[in-house]
Amino acid sequence: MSAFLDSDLPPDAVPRARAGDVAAQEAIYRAFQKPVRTLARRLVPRASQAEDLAHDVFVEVLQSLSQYDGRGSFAGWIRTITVRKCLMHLRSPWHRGLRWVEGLMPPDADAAGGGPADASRSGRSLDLERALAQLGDTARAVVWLHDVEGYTHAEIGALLGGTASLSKSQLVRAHARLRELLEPDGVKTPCMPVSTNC
Amino acid sequence: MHARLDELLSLRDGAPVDARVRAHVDECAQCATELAHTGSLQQSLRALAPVPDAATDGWAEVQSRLAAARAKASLPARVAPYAAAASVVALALFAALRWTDVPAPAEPRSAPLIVLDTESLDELRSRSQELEALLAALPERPAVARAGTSVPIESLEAQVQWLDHQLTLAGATGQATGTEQLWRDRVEAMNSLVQLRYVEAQQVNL
Ligand SMILES: [Zn+2]
Repeated sequence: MSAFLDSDLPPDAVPRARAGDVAAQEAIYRAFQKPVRTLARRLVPRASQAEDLAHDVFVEVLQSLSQYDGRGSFAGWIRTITVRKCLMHLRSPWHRGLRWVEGLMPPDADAAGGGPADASRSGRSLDLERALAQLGDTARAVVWLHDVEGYTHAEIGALLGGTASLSKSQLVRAHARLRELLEPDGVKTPCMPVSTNC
Repeated sequence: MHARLDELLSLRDGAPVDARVRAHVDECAQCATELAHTGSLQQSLRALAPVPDAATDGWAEVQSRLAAARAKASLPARVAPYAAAASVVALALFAALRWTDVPAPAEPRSAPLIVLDTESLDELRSRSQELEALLAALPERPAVARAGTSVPIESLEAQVQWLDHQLTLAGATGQATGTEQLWRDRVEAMNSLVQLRYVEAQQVNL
């Protein structure tokens, strides 16, 4: 489930931060740095870029506090800014050029799952992180936003500048590719009909 | 006929699905297994641990960027033309490199571009480093280069060398005046250099 739901923040932190209280601003950073960094990392697998984007997210959050009207959850507002920033990055000519160059080069240790081993991540998790990193940018964003963050296809379609159908087709693509990557030798079980219509 | 993956995903999500598909999945062990797989993959994604703590505390970096943004907001208008010109080029490139995962056809494509809408010295240095990294990641130059790209590439390389020399001098004498402009010129020269090398690499790969 989305890590944003677990973040806790003192109730008066937002108005205090809005009034310029640096301690309250830091409290917002501390409460949300992990979910923001995690979401950025899931959408943008290159760690250095994801960390850079996470910093930018907090700059925007703290600069735009006056625009948060309190109607939705504060965590949801920060999550929206994170998603928007990451998608903008993925659409940028800079990122697309880098992806092209990476296609010519051997795998990079900075990409997800390629860095030093982290004891908290099991083999299965690392495999899944690596597989996610190998998806196309759109498919990866869609499967994460839909299956983990709980966005609807209509919401994702709008974020991508398309329709719900775009999101649905990319979700299918993501699931099919993840299965291929995670079970390269996987043979489908033979059809074992319970009734005769299979 | 077995259910398609999109139908299984709709079933998993409780979205509307044709009644015949639903009835089939209820009775077909293979489809039921595939349906369980889609749910299990979703659970695995949700169970992925958050990223580990960063090596350095990011709060100091956020504060530094906030301060840079405040300083930028108070900069005079003289830098605006750089940002505007760069934005036009970036928009043109964005139109060329459409939002799609499908590889673009094998035609000359635009090179990556770093937009000069950041003005602080630190950001210019950081942009310069990113361009260095991108340049280093490009394949070796071909033994026989095309004159159309070779001459300007060598001229830009010389310009970058000269700017590095000037920056070294400015650093040695502790001279701050003009340093930002030198860095800006260096980012622009590196930007052009990366684009030309990018085009050259694509010509080789065609
Ligand atoms: Zn079936």
